[in-house]
Amino acid sequence: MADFAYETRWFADAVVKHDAVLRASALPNGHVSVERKSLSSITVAPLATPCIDTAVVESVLASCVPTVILLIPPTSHYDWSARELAEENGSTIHTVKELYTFMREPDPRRFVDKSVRYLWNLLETHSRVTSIEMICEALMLVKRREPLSDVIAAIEYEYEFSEAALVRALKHHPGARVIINANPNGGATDAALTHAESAEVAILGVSEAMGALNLDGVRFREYVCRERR
Amino acid sequence: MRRHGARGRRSAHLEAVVAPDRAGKWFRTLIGILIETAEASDIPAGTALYLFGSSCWDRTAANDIDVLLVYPNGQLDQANLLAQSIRNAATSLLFDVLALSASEERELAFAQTERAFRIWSR
Repeated sequence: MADFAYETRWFADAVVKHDAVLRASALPNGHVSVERKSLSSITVAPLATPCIDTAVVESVLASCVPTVILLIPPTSHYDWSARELAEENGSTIHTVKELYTFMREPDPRRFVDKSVRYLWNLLETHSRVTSIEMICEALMLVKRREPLSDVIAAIEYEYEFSEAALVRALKHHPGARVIINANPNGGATDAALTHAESAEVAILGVSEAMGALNLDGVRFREYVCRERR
Repeated sequence: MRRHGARGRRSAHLEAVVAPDRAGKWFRTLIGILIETAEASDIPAGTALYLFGSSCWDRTAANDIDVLLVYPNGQLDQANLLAQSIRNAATSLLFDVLALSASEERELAFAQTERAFRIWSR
């Protein structure tokens, strides 16, 4: 039995405050019909669960196929395989940020968080990268040409990467070996870098990540681009 | 580098003198939510909340509201708890919280650079 609960009332009350939304109504199956201004209506299955996996998607789709299966808690995850399963069946999975960002799109289903999409596209162009495999909404396995090892990278967007942001990111993505800050203007504080060193994790900006991908091990982790040296 | 953070005040209070362009009901509501959340926390003295970013100047500019939380050095766990409480404080508002220790704030001078304005301190 898949472990999730519908947050129907909460979501219906919240989404009507979005600029693009005209009204929202709760449906008997726990989904929410969202009527949008000058766009077709969509249905959303708002879920509270630690992780949306393929079992959760199968349970949701068994009753009805919503336009979007929505992951409500910001500290939760959706498995990428679950999103692929949802898309194969005419639906998708979004975080709240993804749905809110793309609410004005005629069909919001194919859109991915802008920071993730940007880094995904960019890393794929790197000469040492053979492929990117998404693990969850913001965690990716970066496969590299031998003899370089593969890297699990978490994508975050922070004004500045502070120690508190690092602790939060590590809790959210315990498997990550590198955290890439997608904000091109964002740096990392000394405290965050010291903490990262002891946790054997790298915090890299976008340009740093592109440089570090040529390296492995400690040299990868401690890569600092020219302008920060 | 200009220093920010604790200024020796003991009581929690609203610090911002809300400018006319920030005096709308929406803005007062979100400041109220932030203050209420901070007041209910166990965050120690030397903590301050600031607002910054485009939402300070134009309600329609962004769906999220940028909040800077400056906390005393060594109080990371308490700061993360308060930051999480702020993120969960309202269903209709997306609070994006940047938590910096007093040392990190001194290192970055973030409040000054971003023209953040202080709304609460303890």
